[in-house]
Amino acid sequence: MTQLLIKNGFVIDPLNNIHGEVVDIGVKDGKIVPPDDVDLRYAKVIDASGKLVVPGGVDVHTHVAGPKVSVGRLLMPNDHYKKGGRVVAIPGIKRSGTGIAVPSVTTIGYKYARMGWTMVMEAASPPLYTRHTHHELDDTPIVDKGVNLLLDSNWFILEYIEQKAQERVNAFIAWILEATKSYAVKLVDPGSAEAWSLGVATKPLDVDEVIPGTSVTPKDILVALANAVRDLKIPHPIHVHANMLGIPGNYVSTINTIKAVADIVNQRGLSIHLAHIQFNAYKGDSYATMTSGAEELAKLINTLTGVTFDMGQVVFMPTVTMTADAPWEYVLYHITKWKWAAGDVENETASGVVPYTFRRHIYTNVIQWGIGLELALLVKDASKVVISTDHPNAGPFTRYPQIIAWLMSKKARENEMKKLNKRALKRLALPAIDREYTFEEFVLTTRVAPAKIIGVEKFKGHLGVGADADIAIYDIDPRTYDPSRDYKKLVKAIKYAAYTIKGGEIVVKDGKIVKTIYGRTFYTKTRTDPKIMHEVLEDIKSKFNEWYTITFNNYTILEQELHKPYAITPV
Amino acid sequence: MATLILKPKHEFTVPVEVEKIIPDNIAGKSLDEVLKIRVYEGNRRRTLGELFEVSGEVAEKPAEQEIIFQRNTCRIRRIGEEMSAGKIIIEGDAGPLAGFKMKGGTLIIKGNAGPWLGAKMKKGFIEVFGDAEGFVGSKLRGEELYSGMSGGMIVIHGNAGREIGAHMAGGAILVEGNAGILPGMHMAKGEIMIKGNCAGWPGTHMIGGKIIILGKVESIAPSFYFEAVKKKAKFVKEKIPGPFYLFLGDVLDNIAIPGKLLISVKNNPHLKYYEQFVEEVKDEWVEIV
Repeated sequence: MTQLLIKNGFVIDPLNNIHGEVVDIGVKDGKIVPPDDVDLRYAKVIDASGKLVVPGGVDVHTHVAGPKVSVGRLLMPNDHYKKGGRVVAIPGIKRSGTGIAVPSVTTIGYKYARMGWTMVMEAASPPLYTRHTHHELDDTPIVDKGVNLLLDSNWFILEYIEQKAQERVNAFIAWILEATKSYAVKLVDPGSAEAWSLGVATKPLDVDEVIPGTSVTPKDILVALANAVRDLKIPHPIHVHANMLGIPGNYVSTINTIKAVADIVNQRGLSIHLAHIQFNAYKGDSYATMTSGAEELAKLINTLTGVTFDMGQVVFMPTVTMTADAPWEYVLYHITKWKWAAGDVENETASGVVPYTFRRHIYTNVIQWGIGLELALLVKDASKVVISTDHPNAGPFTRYPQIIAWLMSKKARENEMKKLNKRALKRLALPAIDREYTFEEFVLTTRVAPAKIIGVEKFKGHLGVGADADIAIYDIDPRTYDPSRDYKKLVKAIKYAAYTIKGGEIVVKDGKIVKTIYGRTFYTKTRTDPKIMHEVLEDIKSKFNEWYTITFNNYTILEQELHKPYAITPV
Repeated sequence: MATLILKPKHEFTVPVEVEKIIPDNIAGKSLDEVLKIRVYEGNRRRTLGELFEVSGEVAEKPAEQEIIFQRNTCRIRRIGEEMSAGKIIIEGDAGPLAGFKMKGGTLIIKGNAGPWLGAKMKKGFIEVFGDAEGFVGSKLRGEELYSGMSGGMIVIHGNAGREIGAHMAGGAILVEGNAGILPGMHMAKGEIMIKGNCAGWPGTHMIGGKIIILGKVESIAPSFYFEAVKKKAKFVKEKIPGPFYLFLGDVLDNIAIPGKLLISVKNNPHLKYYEQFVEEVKDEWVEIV
């Protein structure tokens, strides 16, 4: 295997207490080793003097594979004509692709690697169609991946919650995560999707409302699934897209969601991960009077240790919103009046896809832009914050460098604010916030925090001996360079990493792909009481023929169907 | 005017994209520089000199530059994309997207034109001596409403395919032959004249603009109101003698500012049925006044 020695780089590695030192890093057999173990006769030496060396980035919430991403591509042919999205094939090195808002499967991996990101988590996959998700993930080059499974509206789980049979919920989740080779539990607008597609719920539900047609509330689902995740020791806490997303006044629902599960802490001290919190932090009673609820949420999150979130930061460009929150997409379609695709997944969930353009002159869009940044800047501990655009909902992931610049430089924010709706800026707290992220906080929000949330911090998100050799090298020197002044250099440096090393192989050099490799797919393999598991399996099998269009045996995804599966067994 | 002649060196088996070969890019360069301009053959990057025999001379200004494509040109697409001045002549057939997003100048096709001729065109003049395929002067798939051709003029001496002028927002299209179904679909502004027959449903979903048909029209969409019989029509300042049936619509999309359909009375005896409504409307009008 390749051996590498990265010399004289300026390393930031908070998990190993390296807060900016010149350290040499050795790589052997895809792992990080002490520099002395590298045999210099065979090793390739990278001179990283004057460069920043950090672990490879991890994205905790991004929609990169699965049926609704494909629908998004079909719905936006105009996204694939544009010149900026075209990736030209180089035989033997990389494959071709198109698209800016929703790029082709192959180019997603290249675009992440080019920025120095080496692991992504597909945010929402309906269990029935997870085979499709895996097929697309297997074709996504370079990055490691994992699947968050949509479980909030599953008929089996709703039935077990109604019966108040927590151990059956646990057994079902243990079975379905392994059967679909998925990594974590995702809740999207708990309870509303299935009730909506049955036609019994006509609008998004609040946390305490009883789901029509059942006797449970979204809160019951949250608590039951959070308990299951804790009991099964699943590494990732529940990944929640909270109720009432996108509706003014919803910050109260978000606070109620956090409070409902704040006490249910998993073995690693985490209780809930709030996805794209920006969409759930609106105050006011209509879109015309909408303001930011970031302060209230930040105040609450500052007091709780187990709550983390990703930003869902808006960038101003055409995007495609896609979510399993079908009732919200129905509302959004009536706002945009252009295109809409809706889907129903039998017994499990529903989904919607609507193209949307965030514009600088629109009051609501500017408030949304401000909320994401306010939340990231008002929460004191940067290791609770993860940078995301909820790709492709609020913007493509390729705009992360711009968001990092906004966080690290007040000047960058001010320059952007010059172009924005003035009435909206008057009602935001953002212009008065002086905080600028340091380079260490940049590493925390993009590397350490996501790795910890996903629960892979043993081998991702740091550069200690034994970690995976996923390393990003950026052409900036924090000792001499001040990002708050010259933020454009920062954007460029992160957009085109000087080197990206994935699994010990150099995949990107000077912002260009030089090698294509394929990463692993992580999934969770948990253990539960075999007696209850047997009961639940009998129950599932007996109802499967009645409820599903496919048979039980065809539902289960076998390990050999994935290119590089990697089971994580909680201890 | 300086003329540059391009002849394919071999017969192309895959599409060739020449969007950079426009007077704006060529004028002011030396012939060696012109030979190095990037073109695509399929998914492979090539230079102009690798694919074409280039002869002739290069002008100082784009407006004085003339480019001629000779021999077998039917697989060459995106000819004259975003050109703003000068002249391009295609002596054979043109592939898809000729004159795409054109901003000015002249494009002359002596053979037939592929689909999406003059799509999203802003200004300039396109003349086709053969037939054109569908989607002349329209927008591309999936783009926003009414983002098709917004200015300029397209003249087709032969027949045209279906959905010509779809999502058109300005400019004029003249078809001297017949046209396929749905001309002027989702049209917002501009003018279309078809001298031959139309296969049906002109102007469906139109919210403005004018479509004149001198030949036979198979059927009119039921969402159009019959307004009057007009003696003559006007197409780009030119008076066209009639008489014409005038229809307004499409009421499914917009009643406030309707689009106009002018259809020849002489060639459409099956539309005579509508004439009875003229009197009725007039009578009602008198009563109300």
